[in-house]
Amino acid sequence: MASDVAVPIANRGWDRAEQSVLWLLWGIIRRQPFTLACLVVLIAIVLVAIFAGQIAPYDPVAQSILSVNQLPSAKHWLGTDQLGRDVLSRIIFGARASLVLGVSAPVLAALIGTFLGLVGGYFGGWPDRAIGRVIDLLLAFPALLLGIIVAAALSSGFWSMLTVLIIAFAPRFARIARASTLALRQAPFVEAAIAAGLGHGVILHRHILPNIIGPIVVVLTLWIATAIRLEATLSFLGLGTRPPQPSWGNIIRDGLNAMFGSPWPIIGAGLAITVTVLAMNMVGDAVRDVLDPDTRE
Amino acid sequence: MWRTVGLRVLDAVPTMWLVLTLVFVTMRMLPGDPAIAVLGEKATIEQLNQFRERIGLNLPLWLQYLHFLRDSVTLNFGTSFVANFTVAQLVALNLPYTIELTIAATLIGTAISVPIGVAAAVRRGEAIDSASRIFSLLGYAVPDFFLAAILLVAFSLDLGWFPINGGGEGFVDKLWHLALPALALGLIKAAFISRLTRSSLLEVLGFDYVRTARAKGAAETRVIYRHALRNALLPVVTGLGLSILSTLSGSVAVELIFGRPGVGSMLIGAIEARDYPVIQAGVVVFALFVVVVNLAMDIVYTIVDPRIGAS
Amino acid sequence: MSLTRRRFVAASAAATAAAGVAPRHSQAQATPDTLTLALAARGNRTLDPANSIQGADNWSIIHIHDTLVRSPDGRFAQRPEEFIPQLAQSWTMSPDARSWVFRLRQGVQFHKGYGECTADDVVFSLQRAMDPKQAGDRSLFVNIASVDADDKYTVRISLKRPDPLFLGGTIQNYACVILSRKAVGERGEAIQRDPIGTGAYQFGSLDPDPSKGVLMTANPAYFDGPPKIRNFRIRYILDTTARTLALLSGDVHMIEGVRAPGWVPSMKQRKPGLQFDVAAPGSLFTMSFNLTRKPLDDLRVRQAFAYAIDRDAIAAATAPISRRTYGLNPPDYPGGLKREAVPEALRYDHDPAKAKALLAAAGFPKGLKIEAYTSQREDYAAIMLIVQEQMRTVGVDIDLKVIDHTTFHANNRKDMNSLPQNSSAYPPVPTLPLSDTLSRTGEVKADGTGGTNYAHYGVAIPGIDDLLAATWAEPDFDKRIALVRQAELKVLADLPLMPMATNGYLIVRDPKVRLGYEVRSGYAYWRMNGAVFA
Repeated sequence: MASDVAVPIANRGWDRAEQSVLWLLWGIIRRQPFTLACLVVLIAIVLVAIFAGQIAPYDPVAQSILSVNQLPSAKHWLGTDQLGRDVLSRIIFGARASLVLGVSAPVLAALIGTFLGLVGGYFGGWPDRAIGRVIDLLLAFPALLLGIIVAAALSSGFWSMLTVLIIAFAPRFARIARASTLALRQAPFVEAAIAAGLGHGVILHRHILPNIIGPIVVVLTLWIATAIRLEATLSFLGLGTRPPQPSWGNIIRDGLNAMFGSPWPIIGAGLAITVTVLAMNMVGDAVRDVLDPDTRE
Repeated sequence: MWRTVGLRVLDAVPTMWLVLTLVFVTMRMLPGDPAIAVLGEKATIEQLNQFRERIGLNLPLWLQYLHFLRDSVTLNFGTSFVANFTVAQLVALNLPYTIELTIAATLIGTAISVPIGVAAAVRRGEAIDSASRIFSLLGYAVPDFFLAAILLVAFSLDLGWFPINGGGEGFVDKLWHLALPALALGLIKAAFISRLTRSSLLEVLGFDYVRTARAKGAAETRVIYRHALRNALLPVVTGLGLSILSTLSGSVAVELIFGRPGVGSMLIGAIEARDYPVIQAGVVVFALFVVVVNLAMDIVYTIVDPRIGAS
Repeated sequence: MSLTRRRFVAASAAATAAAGVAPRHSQAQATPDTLTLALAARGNRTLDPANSIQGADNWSIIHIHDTLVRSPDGRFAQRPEEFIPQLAQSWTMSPDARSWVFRLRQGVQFHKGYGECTADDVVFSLQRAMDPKQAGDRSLFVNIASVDADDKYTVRISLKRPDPLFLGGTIQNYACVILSRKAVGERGEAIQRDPIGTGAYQFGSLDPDPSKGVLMTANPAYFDGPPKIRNFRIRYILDTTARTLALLSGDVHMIEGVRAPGWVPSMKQRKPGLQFDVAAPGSLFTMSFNLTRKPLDDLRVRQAFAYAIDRDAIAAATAPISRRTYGLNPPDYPGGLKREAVPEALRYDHDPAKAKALLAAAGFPKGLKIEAYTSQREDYAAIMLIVQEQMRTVGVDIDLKVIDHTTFHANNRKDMNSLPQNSSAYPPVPTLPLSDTLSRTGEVKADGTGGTNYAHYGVAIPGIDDLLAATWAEPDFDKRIALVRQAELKVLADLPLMPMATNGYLIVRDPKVRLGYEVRSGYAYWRMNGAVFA
């Protein structure tokens, strides 16, 4: 699952890493127009999430018992749900749940996982084996199953989902970080640094870390897409975002229960997930193409 | 080689033990008193205590843990707290449906994806290649439960071609009930596998021995199907194994949508009802499944590629 | 556009069913000699009345077994004279209402050769039901001092306190059905899965697959005449969509309705001709105020809630299932308050301005914030989400955590909820809900060992315990009712809880099935032994 990592001969260092970010953006923009379009769509979605309060026509939790399950009309572009709430507004606000979790969880998981992978790969020995065991165990499980068990134990809601997603993703980052660190450990410039008597902390920070950032970021963007889908699935199962707060997943769940009235909540929320994940994946592919050209298709 | 296989099997034991411990801990963490959950809010103190006594909640934690391990190993999960049946009966009822769905979805997924992947590789850069790319992109992006919901609304509710829910009885009826759920899962799996087929076939097509076969003048199709595909299939098989696992977890949501019995819906229901014995059994079944599939993949890898076994 | 789509869907559903493309489950489908009912539950929990806590199971229990007396079909008996003999042919009550004697019908046989039903079986069944170790609801039996067989066909029940409503409160309840001592002795615990009774239907089979459920077959030797429909199958379909579709597609004849706003009107539209049988009052829905939590200990805050919540709107949202209540007991019960009987000051007619004024007087001119739990079950969530909205308009922000049903009840029992809600069904014995939810001895405790008085009424502030004691000591029916009214009015003045609405129990029936009577009130189950296919 971890892609083969090329061992750099020289230390790219932090300056090069920062340059890489700009180079990365330029690389993305330069690709096919489709990828650029996806980037634009993503930015639009983020803006919608941030400015949901201004954009959404109605309050997402305001009910109107007299107008339940309505089909789309001029007043409600996507109709209403089983409690009379405006579906479009709920989808707009739902972007928040998906994006906040979808971004923060993988980022936190990356931080934790990278740290564990670094430690394991660099120091070796029993910490490596112990961490490796747990990682193997967690990796063997499909993320969703882990999610169900953990979410059930911690009830539902934002913090439990965050925990679930971190537990699901951190091992994957750890594995990549470990593989990269292991490879780097043998690199001549690292050996030289050790021989020169530099402290472990300095070596990790200055020599190893900037060189493994590449693969980590590649995987990060792709896992954000997966995190968004996972959040939706868990919310759909009732283990995620708590009602009445909207999330794309629980909008589909409610929509299924009210299937007779109108299929539009399902269609609207489902499309929202699909478009977001698609755009995220495209951008992630472009990031990978730029940072890791060897694995380009 | 058998030594490696044996080692792998032994390796699975500590994994299962870790899983069981994780299950025990999370079940104890489930909020809500199981006694009240099972007996209802009008239960008297005596009834609650009697129940707690009966399921061993009054024993010290380490003793409960040992009993739990013992029960799991002997597959003695007891009687459901909520339903009027033993856990064994419930699992026997639900497991076949989940296995059916997993197999059907994998078959559909493979049947759709391999030809697409092969076509995309062989005619690289042409229209079919782009179409397959779009297909796989959509497969990554569309959530399985959304696709299932759309299929349900369109084909079962509106058009009435397929049944709304249930598992069906009798061979033909079961197939009919299986069609839409398997299609929902299978299409998404196909997206992954087609990409995998394409890239691994491309890789193989570039190898020396293929070039040699071409140079010898064998017909193009023979080259492809005899040499390349056979070798390209190894990563695909690995991919299939992973795909089976993710189909298993994806089946949870699909079972709920289509109202199908299955281990996933059994587990979710048991979690909601705090039916500890069934939760335990459900997780163990899933864990066993995961461990077995991983093990099978490892073994297949070892057999097919002796180099790996030697490490 | 909407009209076309709805017509299309209805037409295609009908066409599908007609064309026979509908699912052909061989056993589970509705065939002409099997009546099928689909209930909202995960599955069967037990068929033993002493262990039954799930309402859905009682449908099976009352068809397989009989009680000593019962109410007329389709309603609760309002007065003692209205009860109908079942296994008891006649009965007498002592003048002090503490002793009841029942003369049994002779020659009634248990199913499958287990012999005649005699006073010994009655004594056995009632003593078994009274056993504190059994799981079911024991509160109905606390007043029974002893049950004895005077002779082979006579049973004497002695009560601790007078109870002129004993028949309505206890004897007609499903928990008092009569079992065979011999059968229970032989089968032991297995009686839960293979029961023996005297009822109109005999137990046939119980399948682990909830969609196949319980199958019962007609008892040809039933003392009241065998049922016309040969088989009766009860299926369990918890998912509301699946259950709805089962009825629409013709897969089942009757289903337990869905208590969600807009569901009934949409069903009427989809399949005109469907019959809606509603047993009022069904469950009484109340929201308690946890009096140990500030600021709910201030009467003005509680009154603000009462004025801000528009209970007529709530009842209208799920009509015809839900109806307004004014006191704890529904208006149709003996002792229940009708609108006219409540003085205006205690009626709390919807008045948001008044609510805001009360809040300001209590020191919350800008409103306040409060946390509460509710269950995700449709009836709870629907009502509480409406309440949350209505309270928001007067500045009270309820942070409502919607959690799963089991955790919700567990939290309530552990005194964790500020606004605990409860939906429970009661027979027409007006003291029951009062004592269950408002007596001092039932106070909820944080360790879960307490009762269901979630408000802490009677402890945090003086309650109705004296009035309840007086009621229990009163043998005269009408005087008892008057005392109950007094207690109800005090509850309205103190506001330890707010009665919201009743949620009637709804069964939607295919017009092909004729009940033989009209359902107006009663328990959440009724008898199908007189039903025929049209």
